[in-house]
Amino acid sequence: MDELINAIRERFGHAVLDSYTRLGETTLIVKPEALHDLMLYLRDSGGFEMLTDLTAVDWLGRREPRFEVVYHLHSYSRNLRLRVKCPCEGSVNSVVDIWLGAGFMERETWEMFGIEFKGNPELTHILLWDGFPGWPLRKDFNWREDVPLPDNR
Amino acid sequence: MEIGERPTTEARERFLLELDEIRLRLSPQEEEAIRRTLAQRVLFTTVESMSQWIVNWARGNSLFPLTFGLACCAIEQMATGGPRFDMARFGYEVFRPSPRQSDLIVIAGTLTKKMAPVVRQLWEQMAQPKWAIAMGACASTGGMYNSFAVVQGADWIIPIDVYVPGCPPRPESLLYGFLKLAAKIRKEKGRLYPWIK
Repeated sequence: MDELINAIRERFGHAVLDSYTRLGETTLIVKPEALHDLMLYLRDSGGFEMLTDLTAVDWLGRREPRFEVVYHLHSYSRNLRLRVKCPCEGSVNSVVDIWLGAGFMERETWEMFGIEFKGNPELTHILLWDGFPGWPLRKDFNWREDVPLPDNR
Repeated sequence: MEIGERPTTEARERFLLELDEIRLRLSPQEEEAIRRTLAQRVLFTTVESMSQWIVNWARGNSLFPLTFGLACCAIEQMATGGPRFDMARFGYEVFRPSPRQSDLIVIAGTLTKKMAPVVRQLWEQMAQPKWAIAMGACASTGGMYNSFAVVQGADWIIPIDVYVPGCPPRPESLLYGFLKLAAKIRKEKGRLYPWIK
């Protein structure tokens, strides 16, 4: 794993903001500009065939930039797991062309946090109904007042 | 006074006089005995309130619940219908698969906002007279789901007659709720004719 991290640092340079291993779990923190290239490199050269999970964190008032998109990768061939975090201001590149399974996860993250995934062909509602106002998992979402009932159809 | 004859003033006075004569012939003990017999053995009522009582009794003891469940409360509802707790003892076992045949809806479980229009439509499809039970904490108040996705109490959507607490309630609790509803139905006035709301 250390070889891989060193290779990534060499290849992507300043785009890798940080990397650390804690309790046997390795985390990479990257800039959103280099995200797509890095993911492609991880799949093709790093052997991470599978995107296990894709979600986001809202650090409202605690960190800048506000959002952090989190990717969990798994390599069957090398039995490795890797976490990639990408701090962003509400817009990152989609990885749906790298892992097809990212589509639904990106839709869900878009629906809950309002993070736009550039390149995802279908950013529409998946769990909530069409016309849902706002982004419910954002920290400044006022759920008691802001959510009407869906239309009867 | 002949049958069919209209009671004239004269006839009525004659009748009252005869009544007085009968009463004069009775001793105070006999009068007391007649009064007591009337109070104990004869029911004075009207056709309206008698039929109201009968209809309420029949409705309260043969509720047809809708086959409908939303979450874990539905499991308890099924157990209530099963042989161990045996809802059939009270006459509530006929779960109808269509809202048009049922007169009771048990909101058994978490009522999400996406489900709310469906529940509302089911309620509107049910024929009068109809009742609703909110089963469990979620259906009563939203329960632990202080969330954007959950209706905070089914009474935002439909009128609820009985709230059953619990998470989920034991089958005994649900049966008690049914009996409470039956007691409520027995006290109802009006709604005698189903076609009048």
